[in-house]
Amino acid sequence: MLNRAVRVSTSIALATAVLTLSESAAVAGNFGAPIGASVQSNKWVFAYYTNLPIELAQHTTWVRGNSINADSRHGLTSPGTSDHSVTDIAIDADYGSSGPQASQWGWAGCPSVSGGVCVHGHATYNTYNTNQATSGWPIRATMCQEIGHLLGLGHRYASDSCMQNLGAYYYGAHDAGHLAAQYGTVK
Amino acid sequence: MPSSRRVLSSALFTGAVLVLSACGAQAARTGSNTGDRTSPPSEVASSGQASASSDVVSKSSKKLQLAGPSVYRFDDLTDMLATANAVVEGEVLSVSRGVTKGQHAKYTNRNVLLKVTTLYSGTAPDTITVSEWGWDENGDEITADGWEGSKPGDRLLLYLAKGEEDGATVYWALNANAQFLLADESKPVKTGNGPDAVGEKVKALNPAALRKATVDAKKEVDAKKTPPRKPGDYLPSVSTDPTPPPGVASNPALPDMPK
Repeated sequence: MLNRAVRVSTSIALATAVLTLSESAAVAGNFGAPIGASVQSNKWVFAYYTNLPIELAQHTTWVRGNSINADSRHGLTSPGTSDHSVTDIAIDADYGSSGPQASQWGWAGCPSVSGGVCVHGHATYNTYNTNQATSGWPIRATMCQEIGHLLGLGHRYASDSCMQNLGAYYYGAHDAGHLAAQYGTVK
Repeated sequence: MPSSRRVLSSALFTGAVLVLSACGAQAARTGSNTGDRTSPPSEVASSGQASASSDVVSKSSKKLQLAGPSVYRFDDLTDMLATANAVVEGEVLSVSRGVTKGQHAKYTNRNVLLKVTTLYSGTAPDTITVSEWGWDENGDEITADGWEGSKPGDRLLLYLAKGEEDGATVYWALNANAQFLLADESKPVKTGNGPDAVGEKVKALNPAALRKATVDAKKEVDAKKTPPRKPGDYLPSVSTDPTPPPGVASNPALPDMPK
């Protein structure tokens, strides 16, 4: 009986480890025009957490909670399979008013890609442009798009989605279809 | 009982090692922020030299893909030309390391020395420096919105903004769809994959058609039919909640954020 209990415990522990190891493989596969997936050996550019201005932190939290998770229209309802795909959101500092960074509200990249899917990603908001925006919702809209990139969504020319229209801070039905195919049920 | 604890502990340790190994393998595979780093290159690659190539600049074999929304959004080339400080065609003479930006995520820009052969709009000297996304702090080359970094010998048509980096005058493309590689006169030009309407309109043009469209855009702007765009002017008013698409419920009410 004791030996059997040990064997079961051992099996559970190893199964947990294997499950963890295979987690990224469970969401492998490409869809749409995912950033980073066309050349799977590529590493995406990444950013780091820094001290977030309170408004950025609040709105980024809102995006994570409402654009991605269950309570939002077209948000993912499978946080267990999605959270590991976007594990960090980075807000970085002023990149200034000149050069290619000045033309961007933000950008996204992924240091860890497995099977064409980002398993650890970062989104960066250019705080120089944050200050120009003077409002919270462009932050939400931008972070919605950056997270969408990390989930595999590319840009597209349509007005019903934050993947094109920064006026929206939600994913359109087209995006939801891709996300559902990739990650499971979406709301 | 102590024996079972040892076995269980061993199993859990084994599991932990497997997870850590996976993390280590991942870090090794992706060249994450631990371990060896390759500094951005300092050498200059130039055209017209037998031994020179872009490989001199791209020491790392990795390429990083980056995407994000632009502060500009253009409907057509006329919009873009009206906003640009200069619209030029030219040949890349050399590429080199530019300024490094960022407090945490650091990027070293790519300075592209361009010999201007045609000035379509605005003003520009015979040779200009165009600043592009270059390398991350690991020295890995960046591909931004589908635009590969320019290489010596490339022929480009660019809609440019103008400013300063480290006290030097530089130009940069207004957005991903404001830069065109004229690789083959008989084939469509190559551009970035920004979400602008202009991208869809020009992607099928060959170099000759793009040149003509640019000249036509200049004529229209000169007739004062198109004002320049300002950053973010396509965004709704900050006091207006964005309108959701048909068939989609209104945006969720904004929650009170904890202070």
